[in-house]
Parts: sequence; C-alpha cells; structure tokens
Amino acid sequence: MKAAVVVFEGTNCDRETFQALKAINFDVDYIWHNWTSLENYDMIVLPGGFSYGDYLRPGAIARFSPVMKSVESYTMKDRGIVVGICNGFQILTESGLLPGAFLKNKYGNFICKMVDLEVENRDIFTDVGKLRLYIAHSDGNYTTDEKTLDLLEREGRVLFKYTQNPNGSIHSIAGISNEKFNVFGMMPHPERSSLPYHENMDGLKVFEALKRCVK
Amino acid sequence: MRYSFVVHVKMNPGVFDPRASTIERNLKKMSYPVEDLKIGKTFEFSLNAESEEKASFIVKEMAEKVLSNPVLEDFTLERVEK
Repeated sequence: MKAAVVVFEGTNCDRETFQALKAINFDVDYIWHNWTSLENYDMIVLPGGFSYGDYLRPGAIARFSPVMKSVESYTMKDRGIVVGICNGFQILTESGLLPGAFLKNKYGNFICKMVDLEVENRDIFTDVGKLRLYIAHSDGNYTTDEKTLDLLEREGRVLFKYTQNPNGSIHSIAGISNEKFNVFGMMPHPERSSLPYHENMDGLKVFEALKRCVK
Repeated sequence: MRYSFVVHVKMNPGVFDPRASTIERNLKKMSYPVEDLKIGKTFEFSLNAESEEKASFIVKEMAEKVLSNPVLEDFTLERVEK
C-alpha cells in the first residue's frame, strides 16, 4: 500500500510521520504542496506543523494550495483515506472537508504534553480502549454548532476524547471523521508515539487502525 | 484605477477569546473601566480594478473566503483614500 506525506511551507512533523507509516509497511512518498496527482496513493497524510506560519489562521492558506484541490476530488471519488494531524486537522476544517473550527486554547497557552485519550469509535479502533499520545498546539480548542456536534456523536464520528480536557475543546473532542469515514482529523500526534525510541507506541495502533480503513 | 481598502476581521459574539479576556482583566487592574474588549485583525491593501464596484466585489470575496473563517469570525470592509 502507498501513502503520501504532504509537505507545505512550514510543515515540521513530516519526517516522523514518514517513519511511522514506513513502520507499518506503507510505501511512503513525500509530496510537495503544489503536487496534484494523488491517484497512486491509498492514504494521504497532512502532517503537523505551522503551515505558512499560521499567520492568517492555522490552515487558512494551506487549504488553497493545489494539493488540497486534489485532496478534495480524491475524497469525492473515495480513492483512499485522508488523515490530518494537528495542523493537518486544522487545514481540513478550514477547507470544509471536516466540520467545525479551532479557537485558541482556552487558557491561552501553547500546550505540549502527553495526554490520556478515551477511544470513542471502537469500530475503527477495534483493539484499543485508551491511548496516551502527545499534543502540541496553541489552537486546539475545537468548536462546532450543536447540530453538527449531535451528528458527530450519533454517527460515531468522534474518534477519541481527552480524558482531561486540556484546551477547552467542545465535548473534549480530540479527533473526528467525516460522514463517509474517508477523512480523519486529530489533534494528538500518533507519529510521536510510533518508533521504538518513543515514550510509547500507541500512535502505531492509530495508524494501523486507519490503514484498515483503506478499502 | 487603484483602490485602497481596510478589512477588519473580528470574532463573532459569544466566541471566547482568551487573549481579549486576559487584556480586559488586566486593564481593569490598571483602573481602566473597560468592558467587552475584542481583538481583531486589520488588513490594509490596495488593488487595481476597472471600477470601484469591481474592486469591492473582489475584496468582499477575498474577505469571505480567505481573510475570515465564517464559522468563528465576521468582517467589515472599508474603502479608504490614499
């Protein structure tokens, strides 16, 4: 199976994401943000970082890059799955591929720490109940309207929640998917818990579960 | 013709902004009796267009699609003389 790690100006989690995907036997390529041919890939990952400095809003400029136009048609055609991690998640909400938006963390600080997560969707994450993963963000306070929130909860589209809400995120949401379950977004960094020298390997379980979603 | 604009983007009412809240709280500590403090973003720029209507149309589209996020923010645009 082939995976692509998209690199925008200001992406900085691309290398670990590449290694994590390689660890679960993906054939991985880096692709630059002006690349548009995604047909060969089974999974597209938008990694974390600070695309375009987050100067306008996190993800606001990246969403207009040529690769994101192709990501849109890739998901429409249901060619494979798209995973946004941290800044990648923010790019997906800005582009409308996932609902909602991000506010500054409730207490205004940049948070970088290991957090406990409760797995909400056990159909996707069949073999895990709890996860411990790193978060590292200033704008992780996920918000959306009541109607969307209700849909996310009812349709099993909330992937995981923080056990102790670190950033004010509504319903303690840490990750969601779209209704077709081919676009996934999460604030925690599974790639930082994927290699033997990391604190744990919980992230690998996340990538493996997502790999199983590829039809 | 060259036209100049200022676009102001601010958070929708009811959206909590920890930066605004911190500044307001501390201004009060300095005895400035401020309420409902909001922080916004200001974008100033010029552009060439055939007419003022055309220029306003472009700026409005840009403010809606790029400069603001309609889920959280609202904007106003102002034509200015330079």
